[in-house]
Amino acid sequence: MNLAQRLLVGTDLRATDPTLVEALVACGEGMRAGPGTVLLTEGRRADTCFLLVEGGAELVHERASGAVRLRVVAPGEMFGHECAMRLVPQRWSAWVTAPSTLLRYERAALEAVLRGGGGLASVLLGRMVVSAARQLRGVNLRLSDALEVERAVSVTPPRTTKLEVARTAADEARHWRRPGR
Amino acid sequence: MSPPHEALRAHRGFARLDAATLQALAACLRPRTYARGDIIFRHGDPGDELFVVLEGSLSVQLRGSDRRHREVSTLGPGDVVGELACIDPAPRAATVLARTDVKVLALTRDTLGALLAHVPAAAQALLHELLRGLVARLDSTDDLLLAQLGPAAPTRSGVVPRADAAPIAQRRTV
Repeated sequence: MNLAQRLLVGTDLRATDPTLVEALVACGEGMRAGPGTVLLTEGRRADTCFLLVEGGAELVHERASGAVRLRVVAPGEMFGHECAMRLVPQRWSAWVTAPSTLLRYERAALEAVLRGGGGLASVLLGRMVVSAARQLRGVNLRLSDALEVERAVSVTPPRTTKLEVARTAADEARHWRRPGR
Repeated sequence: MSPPHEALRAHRGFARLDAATLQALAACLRPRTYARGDIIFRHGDPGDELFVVLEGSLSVQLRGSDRRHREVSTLGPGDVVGELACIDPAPRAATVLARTDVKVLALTRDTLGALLAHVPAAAQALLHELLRGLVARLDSTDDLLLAQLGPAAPTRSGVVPRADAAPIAQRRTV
Protein backbone atom coordinates (compact mmCIF):
# COMPACT_ATOMS: atom_id res chain seq x y z
CA MET A 1 0.00 0.00 0.00
CA ASN A 2 1.20 3.51 -0.68
CA LEU A 3 1.06 6.25 1.97
CA ALA A 4 -2.31 7.61 0.86
CA GLN A 5 -3.85 4.15 1.04
CA ARG A 6 -2.36 3.59 4.49
CA LEU A 7 -3.89 6.86 5.70
CA LEU A 8 -7.24 5.96 4.17
CA VAL A 9 -7.24 2.49 5.73
CA GLY A 10 -5.52 3.02 9.07
CA THR A 11 -6.67 6.45 10.26
CA ASP A 12 -9.80 8.56 10.56
CA LEU A 13 -8.99 10.08 7.17
CA ARG A 14 -10.96 7.14 5.72
CA ALA A 15 -13.98 9.41 5.22
CA THR A 16 -11.95 11.96 3.27
CA ASP A 17 -11.96 12.26 -0.50
CA PRO A 18 -9.11 9.92 -1.62
CA THR A 19 -7.86 12.42 -4.20
CA LEU A 20 -7.40 15.01 -1.44
CA VAL A 21 -5.54 12.50 0.72
CA GLU A 22 -3.26 11.76 -2.24
CA ALA A 23 -2.67 15.50 -2.64
CA LEU A 24 -1.91 15.76 1.08
CA VAL A 25 0.69 13.02 0.71
CA ALA A 26 2.13 14.60 -2.43
CA CYS A 27 3.00 17.89 -0.72
CA GLY A 28 4.89 16.11 2.07
CA GLU A 29 7.95 13.87 2.19
CA GLY A 30 7.47 10.25 3.25
CA MET A 31 9.91 8.79 5.78
CA ARG A 32 10.35 5.87 8.18
CA ALA A 33 11.78 6.19 11.67
CA GLY A 34 12.59 3.75 14.45
CA PRO A 35 11.98 4.07 18.19
CA GLY A 36 14.14 6.76 19.77
CA THR A 37 14.48 8.84 16.65
CA VAL A 38 14.24 12.53 17.52
CA LEU A 39 12.16 14.39 14.96
CA LEU A 40 11.95 17.84 16.56
CA THR A 41 14.22 19.32 19.21
CA GLU A 42 13.13 21.75 21.91
CA GLY A 43 14.64 25.21 21.45
CA ARG A 44 15.41 24.77 17.76
CA ARG A 45 13.70 26.77 15.05
CA ALA A 46 10.20 25.41 14.44
CA ASP A 47 9.87 25.09 10.69
CA THR A 48 8.88 21.46 10.15
CA CYS A 49 5.87 19.39 11.07
CA PHE A 50 4.84 15.76 10.71
CA LEU A 51 1.78 13.67 10.00
CA LEU A 52 2.05 10.25 11.64
CA VAL A 53 0.86 7.59 9.18
CA GLU A 54 1.68 4.49 11.24
CA GLY A 55 3.46 3.85 14.53
CA GLY A 56 3.72 6.15 17.54
CA ALA A 57 5.37 9.34 18.73
CA GLU A 58 5.37 11.54 21.79
CA LEU A 59 6.14 15.14 22.59
CA VAL A 60 8.30 15.64 25.65
CA HIS A 61 9.93 18.32 27.76
CA GLU A 62 13.43 17.49 28.97
CA ARG A 63 14.34 18.32 32.55
CA ALA A 64 16.97 17.16 34.99
CA SER A 65 14.65 14.62 36.62
CA GLY A 66 13.75 12.98 33.30
CA ALA A 67 11.66 13.64 30.26
CA VAL A 68 8.12 14.76 30.95
CA ARG A 69 5.71 13.37 28.41
CA LEU A 70 3.36 16.14 27.35
CA ARG A 71 1.43 14.57 24.52
CA VAL A 72 1.08 11.20 22.80
CA VAL A 73 0.56 11.26 19.04
CA ALA A 74 -1.63 8.65 17.33
CA PRO A 75 -1.68 7.65 13.64
CA GLY A 76 -3.51 10.23 11.56
CA GLU A 77 -2.46 13.09 13.83
CA MET A 78 -0.09 15.93 13.04
CA PHE A 79 2.44 17.50 15.36
CA GLY A 80 4.64 20.55 15.04
CA HIS A 81 2.04 22.26 12.89
CA GLU A 82 2.12 25.27 15.20
CA CYS A 83 5.01 26.35 12.96
CA ALA A 84 2.43 27.37 10.35
CA MET A 85 1.00 29.91 12.79
CA ARG A 86 3.96 31.49 14.55
CA LEU A 87 7.70 31.96 14.42
CA VAL A 88 8.97 30.82 17.79
CA PRO A 89 11.46 28.14 18.85
CA GLN A 90 10.16 24.61 19.28
CA ARG A 91 8.52 24.34 22.70
CA TRP A 92 9.12 20.59 23.11
CA SER A 93 10.99 17.70 21.56
CA ALA A 94 9.29 14.97 19.55
CA TRP A 95 10.52 11.43 19.28
CA VAL A 96 9.32 8.19 17.84
CA THR A 97 8.18 5.43 20.21
CA ALA A 98 7.51 2.59 17.73
CA PRO A 99 8.55 1.77 14.18
CA SER A 100 6.78 4.54 12.31
CA THR A 101 5.94 5.91 8.92
CA LEU A 102 5.52 9.67 8.70
CA LEU A 103 4.98 12.50 6.30
CA ARG A 104 7.23 15.49 6.82
CA TYR A 105 6.13 18.99 5.82
CA GLU A 106 8.23 22.11 5.61
CA ARG A 107 6.68 25.34 6.83
CA ALA A 108 6.79 26.80 3.32
CA ALA A 109 4.82 23.86 1.91
CA LEU A 110 2.18 24.20 4.63
CA GLU A 111 1.81 27.90 3.97
CA ALA A 112 1.52 27.32 0.22
CA VAL A 113 -1.30 24.80 0.73
CA LEU A 114 -3.15 27.07 3.14
CA ARG A 115 -2.77 30.09 0.83
CA GLY A 116 -4.07 28.04 -2.07
CA GLY A 117 -7.45 27.48 -0.41
CA GLY A 118 -9.79 24.85 -1.84
CA GLY A 119 -10.34 21.30 -0.68
CA LEU A 120 -6.72 20.53 0.16
CA ALA A 121 -6.46 23.55 2.47
CA SER A 122 -9.68 22.46 4.21
CA VAL A 123 -8.34 18.92 4.70
CA LEU A 124 -5.01 20.18 6.02
CA LEU A 125 -6.61 22.71 8.37
CA GLY A 126 -9.12 20.12 9.53
CA ARG A 127 -6.30 17.67 10.24
CA MET A 128 -4.42 20.30 12.25
CA VAL A 129 -7.51 21.24 14.26
CA VAL A 130 -8.49 17.63 15.01
CA SER A 131 -4.90 16.80 15.99
CA ALA A 132 -4.69 19.80 18.31
CA ALA A 133 -8.08 18.96 19.86
CA ARG A 134 -7.12 15.33 20.54
CA GLN A 135 -3.73 16.28 21.93
CA LEU A 136 -5.38 18.89 24.14
CA ARG A 137 -7.73 16.23 25.49
CA GLY A 138 -4.73 14.02 26.23
CA VAL A 139 -2.70 16.66 28.01
CA ASN A 140 -5.80 17.75 29.91
CA LEU A 141 -6.17 14.23 31.24
CA ARG A 142 -2.57 14.27 32.42
CA LEU A 143 -3.16 17.64 34.03
CA SER A 144 -6.36 16.44 35.67
CA ASP A 145 -4.43 13.51 37.08
CA ALA A 146 -1.68 15.80 38.29
CA LEU A 147 -4.23 18.10 39.89
CA GLU A 148 -5.94 15.07 41.42
CA VAL A 149 -9.13 16.04 39.74
CA GLU A 150 -11.46 13.36 38.49
CA ARG A 151 -9.70 11.61 35.60
CA ALA A 152 -12.38 12.00 33.00
CA VAL A 153 -12.51 15.74 33.42
CA SER A 154 -10.82 17.94 30.86
CA VAL A 155 -9.57 21.46 31.16
CA THR A 156 -10.08 24.63 29.24
CA PRO A 157 -7.93 27.68 28.83
CA PRO A 158 -6.16 27.86 32.14
CA ARG A 159 -5.07 31.48 31.84
CA THR A 160 -6.59 32.59 35.12
CA THR A 161 -5.26 29.69 37.13
CA LYS A 162 -1.66 29.37 36.03
CA LEU A 163 -0.28 31.55 38.81
CA GLU A 164 -2.60 30.02 41.36
CA VAL A 165 -1.59 26.48 40.48
CA ALA A 166 2.10 27.34 40.34
CA ARG A 167 1.76 28.83 43.82
CA THR A 168 -0.05 25.73 45.03
CA ALA A 169 2.69 23.50 43.67
CA ALA A 170 5.33 25.62 45.39
CA ASP A 171 3.40 25.51 48.66
CA GLU A 172 3.09 21.78 48.40
CA ALA A 173 6.81 21.40 47.77
CA ARG A 174 7.57 23.53 50.85
CA HIS A 175 5.14 21.43 52.89
CA TRP A 176 6.91 18.21 51.98
CA ARG A 177 10.35 19.69 52.69
CA ARG A 178 9.42 20.39 56.32
CA PRO A 179 11.57 18.57 58.90
CA GLY A 180 9.96 15.39 60.12
CA ARG A 181 8.17 14.79 56.82
CA MET B 1 -27.60 42.37 19.89
CA SER B 2 -25.84 43.50 16.70
CA PRO B 3 -26.32 41.23 13.68
CA PRO B 4 -24.00 38.18 13.75
CA HIS B 5 -21.99 39.32 10.72
CA GLU B 6 -21.29 42.68 12.39
CA ALA B 7 -20.19 40.92 15.56
CA LEU B 8 -17.93 38.63 13.55
CA ARG B 9 -16.37 41.51 11.64
CA ALA B 10 -15.12 42.86 14.95
CA HIS B 11 -13.29 39.57 15.55
CA ARG B 12 -9.71 39.78 14.29
CA GLY B 13 -9.82 36.32 12.71
CA PHE B 14 -12.75 37.17 10.50
CA ALA B 15 -12.06 40.83 9.77
CA ARG B 16 -10.32 40.03 6.47
CA LEU B 17 -13.24 38.04 5.05
CA ASP B 18 -15.22 39.70 2.28
CA ALA B 19 -18.82 40.68 2.98
CA ALA B 20 -20.42 37.72 1.17
CA THR B 21 -18.25 35.14 2.98
CA LEU B 22 -18.88 36.84 6.30
CA GLN B 23 -22.61 36.77 5.67
CA ALA B 24 -22.43 33.06 4.79
CA LEU B 25 -20.56 32.33 8.01
CA ALA B 26 -22.91 34.47 10.07
CA ALA B 27 -25.93 32.68 8.55
CA CYS B 28 -24.65 29.42 10.04
CA LEU B 29 -24.27 30.82 13.54
CA ARG B 30 -27.26 30.94 15.86
CA PRO B 31 -27.45 33.82 18.36
CA ARG B 32 -28.27 32.74 21.91
CA THR B 33 -28.57 34.56 25.19
CA TYR B 34 -28.08 33.20 28.68
CA ALA B 35 -28.87 34.82 32.01
CA ARG B 36 -26.36 34.98 34.84
CA GLY B 37 -26.11 31.53 36.45
CA ASP B 38 -27.42 29.61 33.44
CA ILE B 39 -25.51 26.48 32.53
CA ILE B 40 -24.35 26.43 28.90
CA PHE B 41 -23.35 22.76 29.12
CA ARG B 42 -22.37 20.27 31.78
CA HIS B 43 -19.39 17.97 32.07
CA GLY B 44 -20.26 14.58 30.56
CA ASP B 45 -23.13 15.87 28.43
CA PRO B 46 -23.15 14.82 24.79
CA GLY B 47 -22.49 17.88 22.67
CA ASP B 48 -21.83 18.98 19.13
CA GLU B 49 -21.95 22.76 19.37
CA LEU B 50 -19.27 25.36 19.81
CA PHE B 51 -19.92 28.87 21.05
CA VAL B 52 -18.31 32.17 20.11
CA VAL B 53 -18.68 34.60 23.02
CA LEU B 54 -19.98 38.01 21.96
CA GLU B 55 -20.77 39.65 25.28
CA GLY B 56 -20.48 38.78 28.94
CA SER B 57 -18.37 36.34 30.88
CA LEU B 58 -18.39 32.55 31.17
CA SER B 59 -16.99 30.36 33.92
CA VAL B 60 -15.33 27.07 33.01
CA GLN B 61 -15.44 24.60 35.88
CA LEU B 62 -13.99 21.18 36.60
CA ARG B 63 -15.48 18.68 38.98
CA GLY B 64 -12.98 17.39 41.51
CA SER B 65 -12.79 13.96 43.08
CA ASP B 66 -14.74 15.47 45.98
CA ARG B 67 -17.55 16.11 43.44
CA ARG B 68 -17.25 19.87 43.98
CA HIS B 69 -16.82 22.17 41.01
CA ARG B 70 -13.99 24.66 40.83
CA GLU B 71 -13.46 27.42 38.34
CA VAL B 72 -10.37 26.92 36.22
CA SER B 73 -10.89 29.65 33.68
CA THR B 74 -13.06 32.54 32.64
CA LEU B 75 -13.92 33.43 29.06
CA GLY B 76 -14.98 36.71 27.48
CA PRO B 77 -15.83 38.29 24.13
CA GLY B 78 -13.97 36.75 21.20
CA ASP B 79 -13.28 33.47 23.01
CA VAL B 80 -14.57 30.16 21.67
CA VAL B 81 -15.77 27.38 23.95
CA GLY B 82 -17.09 23.88 23.34
CA GLU B 83 -15.02 23.30 20.24
CA LEU B 84 -13.47 20.00 21.39
CA ALA B 85 -16.83 18.20 21.31
CA CYS B 86 -17.79 19.99 18.10
CA ILE B 87 -14.63 18.97 16.27
CA ASP B 88 -14.07 15.51 17.66
CA PRO B 89 -17.15 13.75 19.06
CA ALA B 90 -16.86 13.02 22.80
CA PRO B 91 -18.75 14.03 25.95
CA ARG B 92 -18.26 17.56 27.26
CA ALA B 93 -15.04 17.86 29.18
CA ALA B 94 -16.07 20.62 31.57
CA THR B 95 -19.06 22.53 32.86
CA VAL B 96 -19.54 26.05 31.51
CA LEU B 97 -21.92 28.54 33.06
CA ALA B 98 -22.74 32.21 32.64
CA ARG B 99 -21.05 34.50 35.19
CA THR B 100 -23.03 37.43 33.80
CA ASP B 101 -25.75 37.80 31.22
CA VAL B 102 -24.13 36.37 28.10
CA LYS B 103 -24.60 36.57 24.33
CA VAL B 104 -23.02 33.90 22.15
CA LEU B 105 -23.13 32.55 18.61
CA ALA B 106 -23.58 28.77 18.38
CA LEU B 107 -22.42 26.47 15.58
CA THR B 108 -23.17 22.74 15.28
CA ARG B 109 -20.85 20.03 13.92
CA ASP B 110 -23.20 19.36 10.99
CA THR B 111 -23.30 23.04 10.10
CA LEU B 112 -19.51 23.20 10.19
CA GLY B 113 -19.44 20.26 7.77
CA ALA B 114 -21.91 21.98 5.44
CA LEU B 115 -19.91 25.18 5.63
CA LEU B 116 -16.77 23.28 4.62
CA ALA B 117 -18.57 21.82 1.63
CA HIS B 118 -20.30 24.94 0.39
CA VAL B 119 -18.39 28.00 1.66
CA PRO B 120 -14.83 26.77 2.16
CA ALA B 121 -13.36 30.25 2.62
CA ALA B 122 -15.65 30.90 5.60
CA ALA B 123 -15.03 27.43 7.03
CA GLN B 124 -11.28 27.81 6.64
CA ALA B 125 -11.33 31.17 8.44
CA LEU B 126 -13.25 29.53 11.27
CA LEU B 127 -10.90 26.52 11.39
CA HIS B 128 -7.93 28.88 11.45
CA GLU B 129 -9.40 30.67 14.46
CA LEU B 130 -10.14 27.37 16.18
CA LEU B 131 -6.59 26.22 15.53
CA ARG B 132 -5.15 29.46 16.90
CA GLY B 133 -7.18 29.01 20.08
CA LEU B 134 -6.31 25.33 20.46
CA VAL B 135 -2.59 25.98 20.00
CA ALA B 136 -2.69 28.69 22.68
CA ARG B 137 -4.54 26.33 25.02
CA LEU B 138 -2.08 23.50 24.34
CA ASP B 139 0.79 25.84 25.21
CA SER B 140 -0.79 27.06 28.41
CA THR B 141 -1.91 23.57 29.45
CA ASP B 142 1.59 22.19 28.81
CA ASP B 143 2.97 24.99 31.02
CA LEU B 144 0.41 24.30 33.71
CA LEU B 145 1.20 20.58 33.67
CA LEU B 146 4.94 21.27 33.96
CA ALA B 147 4.37 23.74 36.79
CA GLN B 148 2.16 21.24 38.58
CA LEU B 149 4.71 18.45 38.25
CA GLY B 150 7.39 20.70 39.71
CA PRO B 151 11.11 20.76 38.97
CA ALA B 152 11.86 17.40 40.60
CA ALA B 153 8.51 15.74 40.60
CA PRO B 154 8.37 12.04 41.53
CA THR B 155 7.50 9.69 38.70
CA ARG B 156 3.77 9.47 38.16
CA SER B 157 1.53 9.66 35.18
CA GLY B 158 2.89 12.13 32.67
CA VAL B 159 6.50 11.46 33.56
CA VAL B 160 8.38 9.04 31.39
CA PRO B 161 10.11 6.33 33.47
CA ARG B 162 13.84 6.91 33.69
CA ALA B 163 14.62 3.73 31.78
CA ASP B 164 12.72 5.13 28.83
CA ALA B 165 14.04 8.62 29.17
CA ALA B 166 17.51 8.71 27.72
CA PRO B 167 18.72 12.28 27.29
CA ILE B 168 17.79 13.61 23.92
CA ALA B 169 21.45 14.00 23.06
CA GLN B 170 21.83 10.21 23.19
CA ARG B 171 18.97 9.65 20.80
CA ARG B 172 19.18 9.44 17.09
CA THR B 173 18.17 12.50 15.19
CA VAL B 174 16.92 12.93 11.67
